[in-house]
Amino acid sequence: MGTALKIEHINKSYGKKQILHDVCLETNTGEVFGFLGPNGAGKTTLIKLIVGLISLDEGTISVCGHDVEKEFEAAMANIGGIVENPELYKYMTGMQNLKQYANMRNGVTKERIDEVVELVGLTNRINDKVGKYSLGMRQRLGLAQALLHNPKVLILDEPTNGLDPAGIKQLRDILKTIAHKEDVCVFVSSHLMSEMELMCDRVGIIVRGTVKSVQTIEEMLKSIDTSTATYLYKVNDAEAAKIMIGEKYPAYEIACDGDSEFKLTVTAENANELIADVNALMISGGIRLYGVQRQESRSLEEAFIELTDEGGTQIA
Amino acid sequence: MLKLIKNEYAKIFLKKSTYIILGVCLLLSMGISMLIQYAYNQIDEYYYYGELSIEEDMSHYKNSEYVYDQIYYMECQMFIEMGYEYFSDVPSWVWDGVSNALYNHYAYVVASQMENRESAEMELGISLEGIDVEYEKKVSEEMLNAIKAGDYLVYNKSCLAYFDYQKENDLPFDQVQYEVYKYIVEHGISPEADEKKMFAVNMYASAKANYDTLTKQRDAGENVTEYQLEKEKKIFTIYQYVLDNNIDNYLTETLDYGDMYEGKTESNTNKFITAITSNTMIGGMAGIFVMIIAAGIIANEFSNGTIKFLLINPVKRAKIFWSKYITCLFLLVSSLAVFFVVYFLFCMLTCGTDGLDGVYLSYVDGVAHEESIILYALKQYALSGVSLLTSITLAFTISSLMRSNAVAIAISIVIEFLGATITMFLYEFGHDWARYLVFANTDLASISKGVTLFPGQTLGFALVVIAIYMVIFLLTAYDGFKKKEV
Ligand SMILES: Nc1ncnc2c1ncn2[C@@H]1O[C@H](COP(=O)(O)OP(=O)(O)OP(=O)(O)O)[C@@H](O)[C@H]1O
Ligand SMILES: [Mg+2]
Repeated sequence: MGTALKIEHINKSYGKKQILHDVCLETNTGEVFGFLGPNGAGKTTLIKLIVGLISLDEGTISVCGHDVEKEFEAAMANIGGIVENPELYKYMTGMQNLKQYANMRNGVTKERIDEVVELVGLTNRINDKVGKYSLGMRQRLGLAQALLHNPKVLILDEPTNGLDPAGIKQLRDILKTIAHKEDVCVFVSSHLMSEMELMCDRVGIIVRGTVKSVQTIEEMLKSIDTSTATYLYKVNDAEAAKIMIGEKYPAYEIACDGDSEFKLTVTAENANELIADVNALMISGGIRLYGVQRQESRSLEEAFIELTDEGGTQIA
Repeated sequence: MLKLIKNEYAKIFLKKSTYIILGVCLLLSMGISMLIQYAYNQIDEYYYYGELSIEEDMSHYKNSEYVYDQIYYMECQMFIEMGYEYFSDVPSWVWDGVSNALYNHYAYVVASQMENRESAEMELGISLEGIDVEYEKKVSEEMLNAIKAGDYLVYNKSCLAYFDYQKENDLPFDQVQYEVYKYIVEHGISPEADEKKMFAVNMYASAKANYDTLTKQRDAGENVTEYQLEKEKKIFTIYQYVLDNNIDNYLTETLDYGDMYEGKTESNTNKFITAITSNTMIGGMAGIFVMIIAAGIIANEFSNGTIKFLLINPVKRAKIFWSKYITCLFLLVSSLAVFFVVYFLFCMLTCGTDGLDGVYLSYVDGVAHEESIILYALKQYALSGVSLLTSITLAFTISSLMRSNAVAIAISIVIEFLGATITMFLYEFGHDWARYLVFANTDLASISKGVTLFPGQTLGFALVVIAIYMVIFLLTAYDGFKKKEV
């Protein structure tokens, strides 16, 4: 574990429009860092700044201790990445493309190329022209390109875009393995919380150019509203049950959902005991109880949307 | 850096369209030069090989009342007598000789026999005054007999004898022709054996005669410039060299226009030499090929989005920029070479190998200087490459600034073809500053020969101007590329 990316007080404007506002982030090797934000939040902009495609207005970025602007080559030697879409040379084969990138980086052997191709599952198609690849295949080739020189920091802009479910799972496994086994920092941007939840150790959320929070997945799960628990009941007469429970426990929140279903919300603390009491009440009151199920607490996705939803449905 | 250049080569030559453009450029260059050669040959044939029957032609003049036509009729009769059927069969010296004997000498005899002498004199442009008609008759008969006998030397001797007679009697005579006859008689040249030589003899004699006349005039206190003298001296020195060394195929130029006079085979031109030295078109097409590549070498990365993947490598932008430029330079040199070799083979194929041993003759410090024609052609070709260098640099610059290869190609090709015209216009309208434009300086082949649009332009000046423009172009491109937000 060490510091991989150190981003300090970044400001960036396109023309008069300021895109990034005083962004600070620090990521470590050995972790998968998710960079989450809605469309137009500035994820790609930040990634372009990290890899030196555009220049900083203010602030500094360093990669493994090398300043991106002052020691460009040393910084880039530690970075592999895909920015936006994997646009490679269409008239070349996958292999010829990889050779292009191998020539520009130090110490990439023929064996390493084959190894990476195998890893991303393109062995059978590596000698086809990239123009004939599907989006997912190009995404895989882009990943192979990024991994060629064993970078310490892997930066991927929406890498799951275009991958099939099996491919997504495979990618997740690859990224986790690389991060945890090879002590690499994987920096992944996305606008899907569900995706991040499955593969990231930490997640930074950016909304309209400002970093709102940086937390581990566990912290996030904890922080979202867990003070109540909701249960879904299946009974023969929901209305009668509601009245019965309401008389005895007026503090509980009950919502009927049709004739035979209702939802009951209680404080999360010793919810199990409370529910057992309610069940006993209903059974003794003659209501036929078919089933009880604890509802998932509010999902991270919902929390994320809520967090980023300040401006309504319009892109900032 | 080498690896980067290797990468650029792969990007260029793994693309099919590169080969298509290359093929089109090669075909076009060969096709155009073939057309030009074809046009030349057409002109030659028109002048020299008209298949006109002598008998048929003369019948039109049989009963003409004009003296001139009557002499022409006689001329044709002579040809028939000598057994020629078509004009094209008549060797040129025979034709020249018969014309000379008839129009310059026998004409006096004809005129003296006419009733209306004066009008005959007028018509023939001669004057009988002070002319020994009997002598003229004798001379013409002598000449015609020599021609009929096919004896070139005897014919020339009688020509020379006549000039000596004119000289003795202080009559005005043609100094140039005198030198020609003298040379032929002294060196025993026969036209059939040495037809190529005749051209050189004529060139030599006329320049020598002019030189002598000019020297005399100068000695007599007339105003003769050093330039005039030098020009004539240059010509006769070179042609004397040709004659002394029995050079068959050669190319040379006069001092003032850079015009070419070629060693002659049948019709004053050796086709191979003409073809191999008219290679600007070939270089130009090689240039267009490289220009198209150069215009795309940066712009294509932007339009395909690959620029992002190129620039995230641990390689400074400066290195990427220069490796691309160097690739263009390598490509220019190698395509110029390839185009030349292909053109060389093409010339041998279409024009024969007769001129391969040809030489280029120049006049350096008062003596004739000889070099292989192939070497000369190569040098000219290489000089034209320098102007291509500027067009390619321009294409490269535009492409790096505009991100659009189409615009870059269009602008550079327009400039390549219109640059010269634009400077010409500026010159015509008296804008002397146009000499500092790059297009006024790119035709190094002409400038090196001293043929310039603006007076006093030198090769050194042109090279400095080109260098300054290149530096400006490149720095602009470099700056644009380095700062570009991708
Ligand atoms: N070249 C540019 N010139 C001007 N504005 C730009 C440019 N590139 C991006 N922007 C603006 O910057 C903002 C952030 O864009 P960015 O591409 O970083 O968003 P993102 O977070 O990657 O979004 P997405 O999820 O859609 O990929 C947007 O408002 C966009 O309009
Ligand atoms: Mg984006």
